[in-house]
Amino acid sequence: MHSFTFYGKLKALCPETVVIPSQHSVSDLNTALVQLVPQLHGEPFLLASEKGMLHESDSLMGNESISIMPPFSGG
Amino acid sequence: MSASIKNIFTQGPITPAFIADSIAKHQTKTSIGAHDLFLGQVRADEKEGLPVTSIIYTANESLALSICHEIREEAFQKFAITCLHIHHSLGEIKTGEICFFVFVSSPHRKASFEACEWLVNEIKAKCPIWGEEKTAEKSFWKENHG
Repeated sequence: MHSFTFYGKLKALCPETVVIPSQHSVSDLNTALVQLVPQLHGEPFLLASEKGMLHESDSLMGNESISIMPPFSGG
Repeated sequence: MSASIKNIFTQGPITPAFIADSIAKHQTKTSIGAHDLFLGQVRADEKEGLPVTSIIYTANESLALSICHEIREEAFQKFAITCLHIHHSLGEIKTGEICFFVFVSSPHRKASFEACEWLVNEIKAKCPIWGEEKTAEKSFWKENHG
């Protein structure tokens, strides 16, 4: 099972706890997230694991801690 | 061997005294002939008719430090620089205060100028940091426009 942490504006928009079955690719996870977390619909977001930024073509082990992040606005 | 991951985060504003001290610490590094500094200051933009009074910065800290480390390593590969320092605020920073400080030193000025601009752009684009702009009435999530 993945664990999820929301950041920035998504932290305020999305539920504290999200339960999504383990996914084997970032592409599948993106699809599942938008279906199961309606607050993400229409919101641009990026994903990262403990190892770094995730890309659409990346594979997943199924037990990663996933960061769900809106576009960055530091500086 | 690559350098260790450095903390870039400071709770609260980056003070003029801290910046002055950073410059003073380089006086012993006499191979340096040029410094270039970028200072990001919180701007009083207008939101729904009210001035922004502060920005609250949050970050995915561990990921930001890891990405900043990669940016640092790449900067040393790309530019003939002697050292570089990156500092970014977390927490509430009032308008007029400094929230972002990039300090690059090199033997000659061209490398410092080019590296500093490149670093600022890379950090703003790639580091997971967010700003929430506050007015007297409500908050707005900041968007970077280049």
